[in-house]
Amino acid sequence: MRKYIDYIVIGIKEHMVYPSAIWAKLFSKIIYLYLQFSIWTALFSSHSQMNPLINREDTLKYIIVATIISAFIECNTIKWINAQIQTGNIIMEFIRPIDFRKMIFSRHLGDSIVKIIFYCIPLSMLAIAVIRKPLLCQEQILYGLLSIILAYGIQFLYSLIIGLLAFWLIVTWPLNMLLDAIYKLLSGAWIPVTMFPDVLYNINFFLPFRAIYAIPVTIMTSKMSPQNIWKDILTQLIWIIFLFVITEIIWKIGKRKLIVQGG
Amino acid sequence: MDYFRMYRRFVIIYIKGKLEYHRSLLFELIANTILIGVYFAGFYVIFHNFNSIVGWNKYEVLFMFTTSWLSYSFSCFFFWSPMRDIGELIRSGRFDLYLTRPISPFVYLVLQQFQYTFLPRLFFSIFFWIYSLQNLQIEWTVITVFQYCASLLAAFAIFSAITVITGTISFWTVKSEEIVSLLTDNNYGLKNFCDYPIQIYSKEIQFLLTFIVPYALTGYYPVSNLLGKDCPNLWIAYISPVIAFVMVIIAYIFWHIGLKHYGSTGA
Repeated sequence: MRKYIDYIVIGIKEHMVYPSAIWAKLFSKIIYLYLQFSIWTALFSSHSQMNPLINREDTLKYIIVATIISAFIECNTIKWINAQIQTGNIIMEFIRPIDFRKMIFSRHLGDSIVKIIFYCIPLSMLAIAVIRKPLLCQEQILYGLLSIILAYGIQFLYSLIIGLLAFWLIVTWPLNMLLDAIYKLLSGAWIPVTMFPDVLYNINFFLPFRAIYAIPVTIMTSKMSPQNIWKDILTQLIWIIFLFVITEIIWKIGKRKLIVQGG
Repeated sequence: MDYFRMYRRFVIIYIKGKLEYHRSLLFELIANTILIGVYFAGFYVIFHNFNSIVGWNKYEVLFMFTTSWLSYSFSCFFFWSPMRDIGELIRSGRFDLYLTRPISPFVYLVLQQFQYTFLPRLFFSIFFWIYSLQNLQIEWTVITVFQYCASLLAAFAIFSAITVITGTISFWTVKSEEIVSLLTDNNYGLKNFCDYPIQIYSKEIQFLLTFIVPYALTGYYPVSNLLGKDCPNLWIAYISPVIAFVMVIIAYIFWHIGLKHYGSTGA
């Protein structure tokens, strides 16, 4: 256990090496939050709404919470594994008496702690100061937190799977870029999934992406019946188990496939 | 036309080099196609739910940002990749190599490559540009055509000048990637602000986008002028070539100051 805590600390330290980079990132996240806020406010105040099921309050809350959550939920595991494989350093990770996946998770956890402190908290304070209204649905906050934790797990396992594919493909960044784009739309981080046309909504229903943003953010921000909340959380649980099994399989086969470059 | 011949030679070599890894080239193009395609899909979803934004309908907004994207893609073919890489060149000391060539380092940096990853963006832009034009009633006269073309050229100059200025910063800070991504990142970049009419932002941001980082001059002002929109400060559309010219001069001077400042990191 002790060694994994050390890896959490490494994750924290790695992120803090360049303070100017943290400032630049915080700044760009504030800009993005402002951009999203402006666009959606303008859309609702143009009185041109065609979908009667959406309303201004809920959408704005959704967009703000999704942007804040995205600041810590996003995961650079794919990039990290790619770099390790390209430089051949990955062999060092295999020699050590630790579990590769747990090690990556610990690093990611450390990284997330920094992101929560330096990005999420300032962004939340800023949003609350500007909106001056409660963003979250008080009664569902515990369910929301549980859902966010599950979403965090799903996001990590998803990234790990794509990252491990590098054992076969060596370079996965084009794949990553491609999935990033699809992910950005389908997860609901950019546009609430309730706004999707039926076809897209139905396809998305069977994909894991919406379990990362759409489900937790909706539970956090809008009033739902307990039945629906449990249904959503169950969906997340199923995805987390499914992705976990996939990671195990890929890991077992991939370890043997790995081509170490140089070294 | 020596530069033209040189450029042809360089690009042939460059593409040959890239074709050595034709699978990764193909991947890059596919990934970019999906990236841009998804952006348009998101745009479609937004306008599936809303009819218009601050009085601009779907086709008008589409026409506005594809106009800007057309010039942007062309500008990026030439300037995006050299200015992204220059930080790394300076850090590693490889920039010395460019100083020893018989042509100016800037010309060499620009001519030796062709950023084909912007091709999907260009094709999508052209496609949706035509699509939006078919759904808009614009009275084209000799004057408006001339104005529109001039604004496209000005937009090309503005985008290029901004790219060059951000790249030049690496002569001092040695890490300009963050500034470049602050402006042009696909998710967070300031450039994305200009995909929508800038009336939706506060006065300060409008000022920033008009006079400091004049992205709004590449789409918003010329197009709202052309469509006869009732927007404030439309006179700016007429002086956009002047501002573009000023930007180019600033970029030119700034680059030369940077170049003089360059002290090799030694390699």
